[in-house]
Amino acid sequence: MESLNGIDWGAWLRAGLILLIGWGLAKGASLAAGRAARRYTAAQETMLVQRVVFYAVLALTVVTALQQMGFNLGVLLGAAGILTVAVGFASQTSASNLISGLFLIGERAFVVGDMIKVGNTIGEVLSIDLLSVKLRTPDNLFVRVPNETMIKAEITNLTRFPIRRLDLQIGVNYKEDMGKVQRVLQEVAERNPLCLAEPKPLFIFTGFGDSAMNLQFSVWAVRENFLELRNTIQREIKQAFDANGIDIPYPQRVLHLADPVTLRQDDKNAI
Amino acid sequence: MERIKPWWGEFELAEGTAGCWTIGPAQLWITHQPREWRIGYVLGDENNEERSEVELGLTPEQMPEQAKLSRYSFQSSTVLLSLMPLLADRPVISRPDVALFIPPAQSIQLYVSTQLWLQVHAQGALLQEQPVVRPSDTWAGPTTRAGGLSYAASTMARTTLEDFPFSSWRAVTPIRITNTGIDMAAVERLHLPVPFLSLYQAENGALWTEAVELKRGEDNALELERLGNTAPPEAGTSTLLGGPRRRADRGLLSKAFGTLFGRGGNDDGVA
Repeated sequence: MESLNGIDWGAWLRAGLILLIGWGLAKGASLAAGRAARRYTAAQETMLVQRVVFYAVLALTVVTALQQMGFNLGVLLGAAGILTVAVGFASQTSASNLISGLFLIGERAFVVGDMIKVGNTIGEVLSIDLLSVKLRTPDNLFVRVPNETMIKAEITNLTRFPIRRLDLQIGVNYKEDMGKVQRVLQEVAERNPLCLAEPKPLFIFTGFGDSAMNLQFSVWAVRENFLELRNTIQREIKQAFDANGIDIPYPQRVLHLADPVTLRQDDKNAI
Repeated sequence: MERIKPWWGEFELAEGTAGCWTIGPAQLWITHQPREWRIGYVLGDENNEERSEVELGLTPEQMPEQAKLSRYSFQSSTVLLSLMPLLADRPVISRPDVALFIPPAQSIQLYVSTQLWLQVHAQGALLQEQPVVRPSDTWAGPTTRAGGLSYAASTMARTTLEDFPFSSWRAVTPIRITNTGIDMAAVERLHLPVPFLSLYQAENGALWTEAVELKRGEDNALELERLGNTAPPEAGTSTLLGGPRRRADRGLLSKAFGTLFGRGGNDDGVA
């Protein structure tokens, strides 16, 4: 096409077409790559593959389009290098998050859909992005945790393994027979269908406390039933203790006075 | 043993009436309202293990208030409904009543009774399926990280049918284990993949599954020697009540039964 007013409109048109087709190609390629990767990878890795493919194809398209328009790519790349250094200094945090994100995805400590605990926040993982991890807390709040924080923090994955142990700390009165307490607790565990028969419930006499004999009773449940077991078994333990006359004492203090105190009964009519 | 009165079969429940099926400690109430079936479930006295009664022609008001209720609506309604027993939907783990060892070159017979589920069908649709009494969950796996969920049998595996606790809500599986190894085989727990078994009704009303024959080889592994395709001889003349929930080829079956001594397997009982 002829040059008009010094601008090669044909080249611009070709570049525009390349960009348009390239955009479509990038979309298509990223979708196809995502579909192929889904079979072998977790959700966040699929997402990463899709993005990498999309931006790679798009970058190639842009480079081709710029070449069509007659730009000298060598000069452009040089300028881009200087720009990268400047942007790099300015966006140190983002870059750190980005790298942390790649490590997080590679490490697979948790996947989308897992319930995790980071610091004081417990939530279901909605997405693991390049800059942050998005969580939904049980009270339906959206929490964004930067990847840099995630890399440094201690993360507990609550749903990694299929079964969980519930540790109950119980104190009983000093007058109680520990054998009887253990028997009553075992019966409660056997009667509750959510409490796993195996691994067997664990009974540990943890020590002599200030007001009570302390013990730990640990029972296992499938993680889906964990909350329900926590509610039902504590109620059942209280009922079984009441039925068997086992006392859970309040905090008690025994006072020894230095000087004996005489108690005087007041006149009945006195106020 | 006493004759067991079946609670299963086809029933007619006229509109505006209710029926009560007492199955061991559980009571199932079904009321037939205009274009609607209501099914209520009450878990009652645990001492009523052996009861099996069907009462029809009751009034809907007689249903206990504490019944756990579900409603099923139809455009029009018929009076026919059917109740069917079926085996559990996951493998069942039971333990012998006393520690059991099989010396080399010996073959022993065990009887395991497993709890039943019930299905309510009406107007060509399955309305409800549930365990008669919910058995306790238990974990079948080599570690707490991998394995599958099973049910714990509420009764022990026995070596004889004398005084066997036959009931209307349990099915009996005869298991023969032959030790062809060179050392003693310890039977600590029996992992029985009941979803692969069929249910038969003997003439006296007792419920049975096919007999299972297993061989313990020299490498300490169990092999499925034979899985009967009819009711066991102990049952006498019997009728088929329902086929297996899951069907599998011999290789898969052998794997499922291969974990009979306990640890291992996923939800299907297949390692």
